[in-house]
Amino acid sequence: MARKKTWGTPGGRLQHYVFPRPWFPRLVLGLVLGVAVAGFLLLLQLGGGWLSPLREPLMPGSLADKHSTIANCEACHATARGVPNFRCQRCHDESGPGRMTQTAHVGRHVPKQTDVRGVESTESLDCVTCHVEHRGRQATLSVVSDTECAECHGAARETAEGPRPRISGFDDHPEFGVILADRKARASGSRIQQVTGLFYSHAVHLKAARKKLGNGVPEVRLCQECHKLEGPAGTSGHRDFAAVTFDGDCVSCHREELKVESAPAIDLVLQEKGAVDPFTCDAKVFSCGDAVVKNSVAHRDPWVLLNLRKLRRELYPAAHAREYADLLARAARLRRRLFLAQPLAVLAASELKPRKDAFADDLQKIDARIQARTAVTQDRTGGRARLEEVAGAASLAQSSALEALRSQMEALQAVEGSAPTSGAEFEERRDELLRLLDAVATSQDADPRRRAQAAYLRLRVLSLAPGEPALEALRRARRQREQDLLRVEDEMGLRRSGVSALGNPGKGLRDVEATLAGIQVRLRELKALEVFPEARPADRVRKEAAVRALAGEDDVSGCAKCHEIKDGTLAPVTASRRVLTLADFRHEPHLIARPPDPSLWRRLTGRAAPASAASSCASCHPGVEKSAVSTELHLEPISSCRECHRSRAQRQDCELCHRYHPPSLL
Amino acid sequence: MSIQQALRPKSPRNLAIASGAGIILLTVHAVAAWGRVWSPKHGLGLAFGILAALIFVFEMAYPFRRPKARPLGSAKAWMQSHVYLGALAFLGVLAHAGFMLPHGSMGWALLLLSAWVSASGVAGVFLQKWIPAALSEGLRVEALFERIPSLVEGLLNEADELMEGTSGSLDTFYRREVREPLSRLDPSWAYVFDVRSGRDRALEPFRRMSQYVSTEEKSKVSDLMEIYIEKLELDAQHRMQQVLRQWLLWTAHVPAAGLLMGLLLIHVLTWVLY
Amino acid sequence: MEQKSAAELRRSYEERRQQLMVPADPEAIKDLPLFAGIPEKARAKVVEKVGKYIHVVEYEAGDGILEKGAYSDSAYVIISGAVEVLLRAASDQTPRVRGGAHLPPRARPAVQAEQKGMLGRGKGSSGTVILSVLPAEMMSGRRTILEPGEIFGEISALSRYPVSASVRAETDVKLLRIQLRGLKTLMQTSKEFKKFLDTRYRERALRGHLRELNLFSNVEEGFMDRLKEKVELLAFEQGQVIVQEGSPADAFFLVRGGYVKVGVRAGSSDLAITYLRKGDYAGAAALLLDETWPFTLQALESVELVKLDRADFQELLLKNPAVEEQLWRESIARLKARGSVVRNPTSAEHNQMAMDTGLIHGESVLLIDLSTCTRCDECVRGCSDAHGGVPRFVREGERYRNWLIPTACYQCSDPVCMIDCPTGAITRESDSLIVTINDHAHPTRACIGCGNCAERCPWGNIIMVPFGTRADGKPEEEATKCDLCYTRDQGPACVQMCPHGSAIRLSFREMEEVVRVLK
Repeated sequence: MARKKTWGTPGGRLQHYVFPRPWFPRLVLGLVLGVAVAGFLLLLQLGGGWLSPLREPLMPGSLADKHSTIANCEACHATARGVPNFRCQRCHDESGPGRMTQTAHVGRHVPKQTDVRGVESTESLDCVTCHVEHRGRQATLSVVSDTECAECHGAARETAEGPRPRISGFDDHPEFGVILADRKARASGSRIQQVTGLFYSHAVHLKAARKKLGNGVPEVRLCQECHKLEGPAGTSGHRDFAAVTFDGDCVSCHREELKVESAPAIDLVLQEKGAVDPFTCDAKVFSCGDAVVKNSVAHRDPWVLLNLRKLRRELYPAAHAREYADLLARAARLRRRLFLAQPLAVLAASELKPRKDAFADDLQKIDARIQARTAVTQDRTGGRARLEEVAGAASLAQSSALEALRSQMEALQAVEGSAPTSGAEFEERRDELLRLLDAVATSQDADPRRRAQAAYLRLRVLSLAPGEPALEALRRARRQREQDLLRVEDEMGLRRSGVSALGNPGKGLRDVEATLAGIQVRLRELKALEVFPEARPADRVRKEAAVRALAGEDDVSGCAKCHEIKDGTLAPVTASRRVLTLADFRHEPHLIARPPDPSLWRRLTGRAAPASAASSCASCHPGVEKSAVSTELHLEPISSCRECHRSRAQRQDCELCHRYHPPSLL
Repeated sequence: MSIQQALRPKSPRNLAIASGAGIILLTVHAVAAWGRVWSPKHGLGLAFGILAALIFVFEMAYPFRRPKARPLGSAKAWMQSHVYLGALAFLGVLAHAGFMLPHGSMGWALLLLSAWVSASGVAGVFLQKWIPAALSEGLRVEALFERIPSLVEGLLNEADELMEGTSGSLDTFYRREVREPLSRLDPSWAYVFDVRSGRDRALEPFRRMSQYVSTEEKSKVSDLMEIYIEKLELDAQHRMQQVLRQWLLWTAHVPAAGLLMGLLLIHVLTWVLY
Repeated sequence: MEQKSAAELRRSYEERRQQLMVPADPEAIKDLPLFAGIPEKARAKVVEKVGKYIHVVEYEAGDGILEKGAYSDSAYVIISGAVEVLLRAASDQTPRVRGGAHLPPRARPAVQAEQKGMLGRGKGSSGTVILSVLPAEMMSGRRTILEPGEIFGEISALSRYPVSASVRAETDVKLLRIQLRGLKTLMQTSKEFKKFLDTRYRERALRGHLRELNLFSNVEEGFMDRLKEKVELLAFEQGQVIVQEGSPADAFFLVRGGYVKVGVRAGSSDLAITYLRKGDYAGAAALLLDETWPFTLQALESVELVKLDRADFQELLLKNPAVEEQLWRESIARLKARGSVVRNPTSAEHNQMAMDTGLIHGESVLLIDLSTCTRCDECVRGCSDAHGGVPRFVREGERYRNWLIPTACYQCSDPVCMIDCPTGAITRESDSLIVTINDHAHPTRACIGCGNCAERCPWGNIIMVPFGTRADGKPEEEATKCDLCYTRDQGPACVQMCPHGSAIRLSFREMEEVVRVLK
């Protein structure tokens, strides 16, 4: 019989079934392995010191090249708090804490933007939110992509001051602030004035340039006779125009302005080794006769300026004092900035403790003042209280400035009940107050205690923000002080854990120190001139003539041809100050770029495509060729940028123009 | 069930749910990441990371389906959730990283480990669908893995018994050509690709032999051939069942998962502490 | 029962076991009237042949001999003493649970598992009909005492129905216990004995049996009396054809015991349409239609039938029009089934397979789909965990298409394993489908490891497992089998623990469901 095909198990069944067990507990093995590795790595995690290099695999990416010398995680990471700002500020400290955060974001140099309430309402951003480390050696931390900006500006929002629009590029960018101000001014019949300190006419100069270069030359070349693309390249790699300097651009035509008329020797002085002496003729330099003429005068000639100052001291002592006070105020500001800005990371451990105590003490004082304040009705202009205090101090000091102060107060009282001052007006008033306080503080006859009080008041006046109620100012100061305290404590903790102090402070502070040093020099100079008494009325005419001889006639000759001179003082030249202060505009790409599609250009703008994006400077700076004064604003509104910078055309990302941290922090 | 049928999902409803969840995950990620900065440490990136971590913890709990399949109710529910949630967890890991390459060794280690664990799991799913269907379609013999050697011995005894009393060419044929391969297990790897591989070739001698024997011996030859076929099928069963049992070990699915959990713990601690 | 302590019970069981080991001495029994019907010369041989199935057992007064609902494989002849037949079971304080469970009555699979189909239970009840063997005289309420020479328990043994009334020793009794094989041999060799037993069946059981069926439930008493005298009691062996398709239909058959295959000729063999088990009937279609037999009836194993001839059947229908109505319906259904099978022979393949493999007995059969089974042994591991480390089945067995039929107890509707158990350790609740075996620690009905059930199970689904060593060095064993995890809340572990859902439990009672699942 054929064998039956087996479907199923061949052969008999198991009678005795012993179920086979696996030969190893797989789960246990897996878990043991996992836990062992985890334990090992955890050990590395917690161990510091010599185990630190072994923690490198734990990083989600290597540090950027510039940070790669940091070996210890704890240098930046505070346990369970992430990376707080003051860790970054150990090295990247340009000023006090918070300087690199939202207050920096809203620059302090733009008119109408100094409202601290706007600043306070901006969300506080940690440095690490935008500058993300651990992206590899090749990453550049300073480059922040647009998407970061879009986190806040990507959508329209309601803020404390009203709606903030969505800003994603040029398409929905608000109009330039200066244009808006100009339009507002035009509505009331005036124009925005640029205070440059110079008399200058573009029309005259363009005509001269055309005469020099010939007619067939493109307009751009004409402008480039003075405006030269020689400045440093920005981060985009492009250059802007270098500042126009007399010695570089003007002297070729205006050499004869560098000439002073003769002035009587009796009114002149010389400076030798820091001391100011009566004039003695050095035949090599001067031609002496009835009057003295300097043989060759340079731009910013120190002898000319010295004598102008001396004469100003004699003719306009108030102006002299004003400049002196100005410089004192500036020095005070810079010193305060230096004091606040001194990076804690540089201080020795022994210096940290007193700093901490000072902050803690200050915090207590502020708390006390807040307590006192809350009992008092809100003072809308905190300045009034200051003013009263200052007046009190001034009256006690018997200062001659008291009269001026009184008139100030009257003026202020006249505006009682109106809106708080803000903007430039505020700054002006504050500066005046500061000058007065300086005058009190430096007055020799005042009581030292009063003088110290005035100095202290000076600091408090400095801390005022426009339109800010006193209580708010105090609260802001308190927050600031709290941050300071936190920072010092953190630094002390770091020192205890073995992190050492840094070698040198940031670069920016060296600039501050340099500027401060310059100011000190000037102050000494001005002080030295104090020996000269006020001119007798008989001598005034002669001295005024001397001034004219040295400085020239207004708008006609000498320094005065170009410089604005008032009361013997040359106005500061701010022509190179940027109009668009928040933007980093570079001219170079606009001169060489060509519109990509001429037909598109014609379709969009209705005009023929130019040979270059900016065929003439006038295409963005209209009216320049007819401009006779330098106070005019020549700027196209933002719509002209949009001709190229819009979606699907040229770049319009935030980073193209804006820097989060303004270039100058001073 | 044909192999093609076997490869289809056992529970299309679960596949639909898992696919839907996956698509939702991807859509949410795409919408949230469009034009915005994506950080695994904040917001949705963190949420995806936590989701993936929690799913991984659940995946490690798979052994707890014994002894009573609590709380899901049946081992099949455990298996389905293990597989589908595992795939979703990997998708969650990718979404957590923002579909970008990692920057550091830790990130790479986590990504590669979770990729390996998921891939080996999916390979296992494929094997577990394909091999049983191949066995059921291609073979008729079924045996316990541990018993196969003794079953082969049993077949050998049966063949010996069958061939007892024969002589001449059949006897020689048996002793020379058949007995030796019949006596040992030969689980060739070719069976993995075709469960019946080499059978025609192996049976050819029997067919030839059948021509040259007497009529009464023909039935013996055919019986012997049947025994030999069953032995071949046992070989195939052995290799295939071995793959079914050992794939977990060979792909190191469990140790890799254990390692992944260890590194995950470190990852979480790093996030908390730093 | 309750009077005796557990230890005493155990001891008495031990004693009885010893008694069961020893067959009766032929000399002692050959003179019993039992053998009277056998011719003198053949008697000695028969006695010898039957002898090993006959044992003399002794009970003390008050001992329980047979318990209601239990399965018995023996007939008892009283040699001396008296027994009482009880209308109510003595151990009625736990009416639902007999033997089997030293666990509380919660010992049933959870409803949930049942609903989920994890048990494979058929939709109806288990369908075992409890044969009422109460003789008419017992209805009066008097105590029924049986005297020496009387026989009891033979109907349960022959038809494998549960015992319908408990029997208790009234006094110290000595009984002659004749096991089933012996009974059958006697029935074959001694016509008188057969007649004796048949008469008793007719008197006692037949009426009740017929009454159990819907067909006869409303038939009047007089007719029933006549019927029970006129019906024929037939027996067939495995494979015998009872009726051939195409032969004239002249009888109505009722199945008393065993399985009958209902087939239709197709080509060179019969296609299986369905099967009949005890309580089912055949022949209605042919008689109603007045045609030849549309089916072939074949005995799948030893079968006992009750045959009604044509005239009686038609008289029945005449007097009971409702019965005719019902029969018509069922006949049409069966003819429809026949038609569909003839049109699509492959569906019959499942039926045939079930008959060939014996799965038709299965109330809850474990099947493993090999095309999705990854051979991970989780089912076995689950079974092992649920049963203290000893799995109750092996993943081996026959294969049908892509299904493996492993050696897990089928929970037969008509279990043969229960026959021959000397201690009653293997039991089934009256309306449950689980056959359970007590372990060796059970206080009253412990498994003693004799192995009878394991031998009897045709598929080897009962496994003997050692748990210690005896004094003589041989291992102590006990019988184990699948018990549907009745102590487990979640139901059968094998089905629950399969990660791919390859393990299913099916009831072969409803073949449509089976055909649907097996594809």
